[in-house]
Amino acid sequence: MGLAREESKNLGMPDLPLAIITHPIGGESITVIHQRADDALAQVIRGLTGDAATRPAGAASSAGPTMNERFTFADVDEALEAFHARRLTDGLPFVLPTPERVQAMIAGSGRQPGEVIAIVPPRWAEATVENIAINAVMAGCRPQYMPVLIAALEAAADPAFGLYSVQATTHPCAVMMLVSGPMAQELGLNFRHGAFGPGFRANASIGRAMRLVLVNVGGGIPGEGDQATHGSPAKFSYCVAENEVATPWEPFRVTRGFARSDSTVTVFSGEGPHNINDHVCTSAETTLTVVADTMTTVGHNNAGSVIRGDVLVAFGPEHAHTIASGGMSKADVQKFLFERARNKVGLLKLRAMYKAENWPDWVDQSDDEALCPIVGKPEDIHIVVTGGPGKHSAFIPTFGTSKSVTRKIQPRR
Amino acid sequence: MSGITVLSPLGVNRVGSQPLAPRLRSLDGVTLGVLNNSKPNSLELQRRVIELLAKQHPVAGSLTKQKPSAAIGAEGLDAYAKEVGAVITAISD
Repeated sequence: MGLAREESKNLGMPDLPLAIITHPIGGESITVIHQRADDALAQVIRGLTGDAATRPAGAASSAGPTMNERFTFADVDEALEAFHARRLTDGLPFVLPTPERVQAMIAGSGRQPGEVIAIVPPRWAEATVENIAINAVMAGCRPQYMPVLIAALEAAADPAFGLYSVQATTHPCAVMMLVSGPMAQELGLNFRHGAFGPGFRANASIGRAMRLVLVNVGGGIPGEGDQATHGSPAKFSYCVAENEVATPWEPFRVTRGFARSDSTVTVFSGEGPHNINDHVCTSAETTLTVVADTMTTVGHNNAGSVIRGDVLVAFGPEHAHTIASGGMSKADVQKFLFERARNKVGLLKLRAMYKAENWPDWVDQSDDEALCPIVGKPEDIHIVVTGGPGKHSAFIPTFGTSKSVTRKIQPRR
Repeated sequence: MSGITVLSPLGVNRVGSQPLAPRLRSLDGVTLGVLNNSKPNSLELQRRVIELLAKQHPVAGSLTKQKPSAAIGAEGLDAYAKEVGAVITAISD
């Protein structure tokens, strides 16, 4: 209810009639659902026929802080504690956004401070260059990281990504950023050992800055604008880069239609990476069979929802070379996984995120032995190579209904 | 003034106030819209509400529009609004 009411305010309709239904709804019997409806009926009638307040259009609905609001504190410790107390952080120590640091960060973008880059839900607030820079300072970014962050926010604001739902859902998805291109090396983004892990300032601080923007600009505060049941460690920071040096295939950005000389960032509504550990297979087919098997666990969102979502398979270089040495192109891998990463209809029925109406027409829903894919088409299984030596790859399921979006990183103007 | 000055990391919502549609005087003869978001059991909940409303009021009927997912916006809402007198949408689970 808190999120629904807050959202009606954020969208300029603070008096929108809402009916409170006792939670949970999913997984309950028809008897319980009918009782829930019976209990809510009076609220629904009141909402349809009652005296909902009306107000003239046009006035700003939010009396939020002004863009350039400044706080002055007695000392650094008081400032740090105040930010934590006001839930303006991710809970970790951070760098105080002094005017001088913010100015330097803005300069790194080469843009005007008031330029609006994105409108970030569920607060539907403006992410300007300036307040992106403020959060980037807090995250520990260097000014030259700003173009990546700006391009990632532009991508996340694309309606196809569905940022409102990614932010507000009970699901543990985070905004994962994948950087492909020469800027990855130039900025010092790690793409070798521990590609998803800690230890590298560029990955850690760019990912963290995205999270802070989502929290401070978008209002994605756990328990408020972020209703995730568990959340995820991936919500602290989630920025990876392609290991282009080791990939046997065309770079990720080229597959997405960009020039080899471009640098891009792609956002996925990713769960944390699920390891695919195979130290035994020596052929493309057997290796990919293990990958497909990992992709078909029923409990992730893609397995039952199908139709719209993307998934990402991040191959370690060794697995990638085993597969490519068997003569398989990236498109071959996508096709193989699309055909093999499937679950039996009988296994999906009335379980997990079962939504048969979203399945492809060619899946015979009356046949429990028929196979249902986890995405709508082979191209929805995205392939990248990242990481260092070792017989590991990773599968990243997604929120299931958002599309990944790629944007070119525009160098500092 | 001594001390340390820092900038607010918050963003500003500039969405203007939106007027609500006038409430109905009566449900009699009204076609009720059911805008469903495909959350498990949500359609069953809405169907039951419509069933109960229809028992109490001589509504004209109902017209269901279902989104494939709660995570994406509904399309064609302007046309839908012309076909119904009121809309009940659910659920924010």
